[in-house]
Amino acid sequence: MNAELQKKQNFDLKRRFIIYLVIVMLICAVFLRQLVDIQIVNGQEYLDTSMKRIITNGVIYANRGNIYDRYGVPIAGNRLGFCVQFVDTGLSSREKNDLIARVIRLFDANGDKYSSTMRAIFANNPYRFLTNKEGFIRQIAVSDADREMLLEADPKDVFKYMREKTFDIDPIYTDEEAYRIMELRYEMLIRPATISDPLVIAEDVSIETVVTLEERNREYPGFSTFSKPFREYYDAELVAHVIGHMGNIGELYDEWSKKYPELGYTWKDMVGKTGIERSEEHVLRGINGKIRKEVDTDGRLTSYEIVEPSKPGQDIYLTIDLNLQKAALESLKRNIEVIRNREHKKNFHDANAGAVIAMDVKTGEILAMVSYPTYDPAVFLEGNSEKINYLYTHPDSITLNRATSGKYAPGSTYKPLVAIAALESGTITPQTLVYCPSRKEIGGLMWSNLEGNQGRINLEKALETSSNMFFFQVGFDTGIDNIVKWAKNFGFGKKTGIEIGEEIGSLASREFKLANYNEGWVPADTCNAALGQLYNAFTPIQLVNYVASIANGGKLYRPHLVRKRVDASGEVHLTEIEYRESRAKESTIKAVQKGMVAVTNSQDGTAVHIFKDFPFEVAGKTGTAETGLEATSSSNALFVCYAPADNPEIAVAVVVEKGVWGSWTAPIAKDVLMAYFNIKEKQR
Amino acid sequence: MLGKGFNLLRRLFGNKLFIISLVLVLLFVLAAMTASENSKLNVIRNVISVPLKPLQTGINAIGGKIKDVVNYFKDIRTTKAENAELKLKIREMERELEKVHRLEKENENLKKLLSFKEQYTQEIIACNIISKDAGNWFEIFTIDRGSKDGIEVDDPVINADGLVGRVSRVDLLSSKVISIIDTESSVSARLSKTRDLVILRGDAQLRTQGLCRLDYITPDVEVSVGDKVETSGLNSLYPKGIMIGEVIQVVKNEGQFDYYAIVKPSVDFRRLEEVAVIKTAVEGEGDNE
Repeated sequence: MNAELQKKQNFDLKRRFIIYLVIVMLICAVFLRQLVDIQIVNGQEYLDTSMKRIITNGVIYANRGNIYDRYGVPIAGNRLGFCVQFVDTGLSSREKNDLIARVIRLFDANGDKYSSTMRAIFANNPYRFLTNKEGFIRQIAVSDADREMLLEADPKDVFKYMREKTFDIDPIYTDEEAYRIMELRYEMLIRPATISDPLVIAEDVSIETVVTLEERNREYPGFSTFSKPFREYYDAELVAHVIGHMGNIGELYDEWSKKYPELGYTWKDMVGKTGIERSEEHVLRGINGKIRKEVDTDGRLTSYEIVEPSKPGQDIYLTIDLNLQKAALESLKRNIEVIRNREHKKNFHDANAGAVIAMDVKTGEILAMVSYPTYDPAVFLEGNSEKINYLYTHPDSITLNRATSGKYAPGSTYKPLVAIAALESGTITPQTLVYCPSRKEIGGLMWSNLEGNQGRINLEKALETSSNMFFFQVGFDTGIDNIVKWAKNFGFGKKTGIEIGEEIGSLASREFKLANYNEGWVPADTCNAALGQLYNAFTPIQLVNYVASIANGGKLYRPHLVRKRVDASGEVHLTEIEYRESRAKESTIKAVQKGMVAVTNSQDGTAVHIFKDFPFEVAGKTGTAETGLEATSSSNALFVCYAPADNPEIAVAVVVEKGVWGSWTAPIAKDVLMAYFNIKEKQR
Repeated sequence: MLGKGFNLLRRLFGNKLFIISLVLVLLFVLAAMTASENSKLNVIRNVISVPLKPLQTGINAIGGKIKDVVNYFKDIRTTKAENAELKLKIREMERELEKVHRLEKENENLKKLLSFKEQYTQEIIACNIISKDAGNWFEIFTIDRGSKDGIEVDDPVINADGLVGRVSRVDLLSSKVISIIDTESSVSARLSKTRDLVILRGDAQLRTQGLCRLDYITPDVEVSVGDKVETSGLNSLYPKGIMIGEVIQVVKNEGQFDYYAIVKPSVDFRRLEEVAVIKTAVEGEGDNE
């Protein structure tokens, strides 16, 4: 019985065992089949798909055109720079923080900087909001209730909230470390960080950082590097205001920037903001190419294929001669110092800024254009907001291009224009003698002559000595309408047409007074206007253009800074020389030229001592312009000239703000002329 | 009832066949669990990978055969054409075989050389390759030395011809190596002629030909076919001056600022048997086992 039971049990067990075995073997078979399938049959294929195969579109950055001076000396070019980008791989908040802390440590070790939108909004040490608090809090608040609470909260508590709630930063980090982690977390919060649109977190990093992120990519999941050309300037401080600077496209919201999207720009692009960089943006910029790229899940580029090659921008050759430019800047800087230290009862020792322009009178080419104080445009490339802020908020308006956008009363440099109006209107002839006592009543007001009693003098003598009384009288007799007509003919009160940004300035006229002061013109206004005062405010570029026009017999060329453009294929596009006639008679121009020659050559000329040993005859005109602040500061000083007087080649305009006397600025023009003729001599 | 159950269990565990099958099932389950790179079951991985090593090698060998068979049936139409081609290839391969024998000898000599640490100040460990991932090239493969031998993650791997790659994972008795043609690999490199810094990367397309991409070449650097590329050592995992390969093609795109070149590694990633790991760890550190 027992044995039978045993037997039955054994049989039972055996049967069960077989069932188990079959099941186990079945499972094994299934596993094995799968294994063979995965590892062997489709191995290569699976390997390929597992490793990458995220295909997305990308760009290859086109090379921006270089900028050279007229002889091919490089001013702006490009160099290779590296950027770091991030793709969110779905790490937890804590993991992300640790990762960022490591990346920041890496940046610090190599002296690299990362972008931080947050720092400009919510600063630390002490915590404070600089701008846009509400928007910021909307972004970082986890719930609506929190938002309401945070709007009222102390910045310190906002920081604490962000640390604990928004970004969940481990207490092991110090507040400083946590703030820096937040900077990058905030960047990830407000911008996409996807494989098709990675987040660029650092630009222009060192090769050391690139090597670490590349080689140790497993330790930095989601981080990868890419290269792109960066703008680079050489000796750009000399020509800062001419070439202008570049900046982030996002900062600009005018008509100009509205066109950007259709031109294929993205908000990440840098564009020219001022100067040649801006005016020539359309040719300087290349067209970025399109690539189809394969990336892995970390956003690392594993392969790419060019769909559309990029097109480089055109190179620009300026009309500027860098050597002349250098001479002009150095002289301006040196003479401002000299002027500041000169003893004179009217000198408040406050000369601080100025502009010099030299122009080819036969073409309108600008050979030198200097604005002082100057700056290094590379500051804008670095994007260092502290340095940029310094430039923008400096009381001397460092970034202002005084040569094209500084507006100055022309003072006596306007007298040749009044002479032209007087001659053209038939008010006087070159021989007309005008009585110039030390005091005289004109237009109902008593005027005094700074030059004292000059007796009866003609136009030549009047220009030579810069006789105020002559021009009070002749200007009055000519009438404001004639003066304004000829001022417009010589380019005042309108743009000169130069490529870069310029001001129109203002012209003392009936219309201007009515429009701006709602007052009628009175006869005495004409006397003031004739001396280049009142509402007259011109830019140095307008002045040099006007002087050049007197020099060349009455043609107003369009002043220009771009001599030629050269595209990638080597094709040269020369800038066309354009001009219009001032319509002044030859005899008129001749008479004015004669007076301007006398300024620097005749016995009583206001600038004769400066040019006495000069190898060429120079024609010029000094100008001392009252600013209405003479109780506390010096007058503006101007000098315009051209040379050689008998066969003019070059016109120069100089303005020194608070330069006291026009004649004190003549040495600057002289230095420029010397440099010009020396350079020319050397080239022969 | 309960007593009966115990009785049954005792008998079951007395049965060898049952135990074997249970272990097998467990192994498969664990194998599946540890397949993930990030698995925290490293200890288990070691426990398994050690006894499994001979088995793994066996499976790899069997796997190759099975693959052949499957492919054969899968694509019977092309077989005829292939046959003719293969006959040609056999002759070619016979020649190759001769070369392999010659290389083997060479390799042996070089191995000796390497083990004498003449070239590098660091300690060098000679290793054999015991398995490789699927694919035609030695992109990711396993070597027969592990943490027991002091190997660490990121240690550079070389052979007599030059740079092979780096260690990407270390187990007790074996390590995974990721080669420079793999897309995960980047190497700080230098052009031997001009000394300019560049980055060598594995490329998803080029790796199928056993080639690499040389990125970030600035426009003022003149690169020509035949230029040698070596490790830069700058801030790098890899010591300076290890041969990487030579430029076989320069790819310049009009309008693009920097350009790239295609590099043929000096190491033959089709045939790799012996490699050497350069130990970067300081003596005594990480050598606790």
